[in-house]
Amino acid sequence: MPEKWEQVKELFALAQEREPGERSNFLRQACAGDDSLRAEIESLLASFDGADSFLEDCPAADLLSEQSRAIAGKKIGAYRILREIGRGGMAVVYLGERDDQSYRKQVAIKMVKPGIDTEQILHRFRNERQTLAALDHSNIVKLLDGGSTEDGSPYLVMEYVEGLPIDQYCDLHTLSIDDRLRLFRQVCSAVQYAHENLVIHRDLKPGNILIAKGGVPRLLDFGIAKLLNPEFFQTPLVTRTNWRPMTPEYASPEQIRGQAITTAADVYSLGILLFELLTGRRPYRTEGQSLLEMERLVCEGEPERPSVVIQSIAIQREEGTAVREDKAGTATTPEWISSQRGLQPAELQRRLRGDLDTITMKAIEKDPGRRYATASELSADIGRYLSHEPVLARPASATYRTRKYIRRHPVGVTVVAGVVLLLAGFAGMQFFQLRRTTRERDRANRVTEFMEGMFKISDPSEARGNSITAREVLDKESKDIDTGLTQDPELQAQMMHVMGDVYKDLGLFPRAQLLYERSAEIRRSTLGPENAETLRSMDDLGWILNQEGHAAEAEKLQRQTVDVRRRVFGTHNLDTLKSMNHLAWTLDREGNYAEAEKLEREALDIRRRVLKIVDDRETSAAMGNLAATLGHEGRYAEAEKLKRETLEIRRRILGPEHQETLTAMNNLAFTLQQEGRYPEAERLQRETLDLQRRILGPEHPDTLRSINNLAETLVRENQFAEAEHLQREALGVKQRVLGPDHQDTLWAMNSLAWTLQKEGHFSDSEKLLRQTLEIRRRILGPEHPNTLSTMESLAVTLDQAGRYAEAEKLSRQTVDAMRRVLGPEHPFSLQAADELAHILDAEGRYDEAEKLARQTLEIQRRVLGIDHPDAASTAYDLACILAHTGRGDEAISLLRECVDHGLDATADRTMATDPEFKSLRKDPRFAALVSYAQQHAASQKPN
Amino acid sequence: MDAPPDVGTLLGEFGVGHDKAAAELVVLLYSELRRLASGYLRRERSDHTLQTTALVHEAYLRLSDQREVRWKNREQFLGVAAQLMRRILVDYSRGHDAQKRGHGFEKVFLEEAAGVSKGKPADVVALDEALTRLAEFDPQQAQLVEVRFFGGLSIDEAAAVLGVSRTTVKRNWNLAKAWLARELRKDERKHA
Repeated sequence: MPEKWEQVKELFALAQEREPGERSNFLRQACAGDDSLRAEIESLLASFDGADSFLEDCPAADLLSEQSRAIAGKKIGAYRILREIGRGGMAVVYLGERDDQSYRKQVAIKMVKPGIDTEQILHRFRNERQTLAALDHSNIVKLLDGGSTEDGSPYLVMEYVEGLPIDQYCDLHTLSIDDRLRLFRQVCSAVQYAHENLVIHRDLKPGNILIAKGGVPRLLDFGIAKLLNPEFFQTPLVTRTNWRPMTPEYASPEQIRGQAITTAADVYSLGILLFELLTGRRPYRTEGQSLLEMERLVCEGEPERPSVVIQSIAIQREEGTAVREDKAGTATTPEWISSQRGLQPAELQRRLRGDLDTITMKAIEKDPGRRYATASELSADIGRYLSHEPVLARPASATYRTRKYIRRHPVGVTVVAGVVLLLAGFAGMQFFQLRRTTRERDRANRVTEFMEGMFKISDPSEARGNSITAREVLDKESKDIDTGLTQDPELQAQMMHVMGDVYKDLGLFPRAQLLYERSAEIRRSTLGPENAETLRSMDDLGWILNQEGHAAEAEKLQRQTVDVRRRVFGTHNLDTLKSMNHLAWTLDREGNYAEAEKLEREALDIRRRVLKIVDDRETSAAMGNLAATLGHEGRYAEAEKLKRETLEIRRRILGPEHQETLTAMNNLAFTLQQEGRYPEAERLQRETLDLQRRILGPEHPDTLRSINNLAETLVRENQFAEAEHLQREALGVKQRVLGPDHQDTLWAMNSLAWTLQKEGHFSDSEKLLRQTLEIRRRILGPEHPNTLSTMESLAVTLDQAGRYAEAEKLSRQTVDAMRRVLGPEHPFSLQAADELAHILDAEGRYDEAEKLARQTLEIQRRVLGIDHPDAASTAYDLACILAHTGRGDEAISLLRECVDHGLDATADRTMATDPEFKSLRKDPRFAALVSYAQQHAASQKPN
Repeated sequence: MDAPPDVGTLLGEFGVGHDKAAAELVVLLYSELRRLASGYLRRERSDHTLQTTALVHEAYLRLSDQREVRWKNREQFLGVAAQLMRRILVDYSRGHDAQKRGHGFEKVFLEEAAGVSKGKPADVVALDEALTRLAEFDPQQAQLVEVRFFGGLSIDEAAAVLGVSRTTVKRNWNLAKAWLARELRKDERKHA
């Protein structure tokens, strides 16, 4: 009856306000004889009475119900699906079992729901897989397997946790408050572990915390967890909640607002969980509320304290307003809630009042900066409560409580975004991103500005041409930071660490070392020796110490770091593995190849087999490290094989023209060169160099390194002119771009000097080496391994120039220092001793020479193995001494050993023409040996 | 069924103005809702209770996050979203009807619309048509139904979106329900 609609509207409303029995009378009067109007309204009233639930609920999904795919019995990978056990917004979880006879183990298989496998969802899936693989904690569900089905949809196989959600478990077992707290602390430790592994769960709620047999909590569903991998800038430190419907009951205000999310969001969710475990209620009464209202409550409402909630349930019940039915149909009365905890309502209220109120309220502060900084701090405070020590949490002051209501201006979002991008290089910056006072915002701004400048120049490839300016800025800023942030040592330590990184990237290690040292020191005292940040500083400091030649110091620190990380995070942890690799690299430097290799193999094995991270950049880097150690051990064939694998992986995952792929090519070429396969090495090096020039530019450090490597191959092929030309060109660029003191520059000088020496330009070589030596002594100190290595090069040049006395003096100094600094059995010390023996031989001091050579050879064969090229080289020199002193038999048999063991593939040529063996040329056994060596060399050559 | 939304109408109705950025946003929202809905609607099991609200909310989170352009306010967004949801749901129903006709025709039903006649679910298409008739003489009530039923808004939110008091919303809601329920019952009789 549209024409009288206004009247209908009014009378319908008025009639509804009356008791049903009175409506008829009312309408008769109100319609005043308009029967059609009265009939219309009565019809509508009747319709209304029969339509109570009509339109009240619109479950869109039910609109078009279709059969779910009959999936039971279907096979996924090696598993057979038994039934569906759960589903969330994006994924379905099935119970499955391994489909082979060997054992029947039940697993949970998680799959993306069909139809919504968009790139974003798939990304999340990969994210979860990666996340879980990185986590190894007894309270976190374990990833068993993963893959893709035939139609390409990914799945994860996880251990099947049979258990109840934590809240139901507690109630079912009538756990006491203390037991609940203890259980909760285990959850905290799992969350803390995840945070230390740079993972934010972001969806903590009872449904994701199952209590398995034996009362062990297991954290699941890392589907939306955030990986905070400091390695990659493209993964921002904090994230905005993008597009996922969160679980609003447990979501923090910042999560609901779509602001930056940090580990503090998980602390908040833990707080809500704690609230619920204590009181049986959540702090906000969200049942039946719309999302918008829920959000308003969470972001603006003031929650009641747990003890008050217990009380108010009682009051509300008297008013008849708050009887909530739980699933079992039991009303949540204070008596019932208390009885679930083995208490009377008054007792429960007393238990909650005070510390537990304070702890819970601190965990669910709206301002992330006011919450517990970490899950472990929350747990620690509960621990204090349990052991009757004073807790650290303090009730919010009255002023603060008032202030909380002042509507927050949308502070910091842009600041945060800016900072986040720049600071993605390291985790834990959440401290200042979330603090909102003006003072701290100013500081955040200052940090942002500062960082912007820093990051632009941190990469040497971008710093070219302006590294001086960059250093000026850096030096100034790093001085400021030394004194400027003392009131906030944590922030100060972080800034120092980042600056250390920048200095490191610029190759300015002493300054980097200083900053890392300070940062580690501050963190150790403020955060404790087992804190993830402290360990990170220690790890980086160890790396720098090694780079600076303080290997012993580095080793000590790195062993400590590895030990603590193993203990705190477990061995199956990416950070632990990283520090293992760093330690291995130091051990390699120290010539402790065996242990280095062992560690590298262990770390690589864990990555590949346990964590199942196979096609991955870091894994390929770990392979590269192992290959390098194998090369140092003289096991070139194995090194080559591994380097080929590394290259293959990088070509596949990074593409054929990626910087790291090119590095892998360069590394492979280096091994080929060591194997004496010069033409192959040269070909690969030229190919790499062409690509690098085109892709990275002619002045990129990688390009320059490749130029040097190619030059060294060319020298071995006696193509001196081109080698020298290339090296001079590269050196010029390095001096200009990296500066005269950069280690790459110095290395290039050493390398050029070596070419000059081979060419017979002894005085040029000497001049260059003395220059290098001078700089290295100044920068690195007189006994740094690199300084000593330059001394050895100089000794060789002097030896070749026939200036034996000077050569001997320098050589002795070098050997002494190396024995002292690196140890008498270090490969470098032994090489230097071999060189000294060679000089003594040239001086005609055969006895001394022979004694030294035999001693050196004995150690080399013992330490490095008979096949090591260093051992072969010493044996060769010893054969010379023997030839010079008329002991041809022994010389020939020793040379034969060399050919069989470790002498490089060009030995046939070297030997046949070597003037040192003049005395043997007439000996038919020598001729036979040379032809044997030729055959041997031919058989070693690849097709 | 894939006809683009009448952006101009939408914008006019919600006071957005014919701003290009806003128009783009509406198109974006429409396609986003469609995508989400199709994911859920087509493949979901019937026992999964995904709420319209969740769809709209999800769309909002995505769009408010991805776009630099912001909605003037949430209410505006919710209003537009509700209308788009209606269109999407009706499109789906129509599409299904068209597909299924002649092959053991099955209607797509709203399981929860029990008040109309217990056990017999309401038909979205019929509801849509009735709503269109209601809009002819009381557009505000029609819009109320739209935001509450298709947009999943509560009474308070609907009041905010429509710019009227809570009491007005409550009253109008009751009447709209009564009127629509009656209309749908009439339809049923006609078709029976």
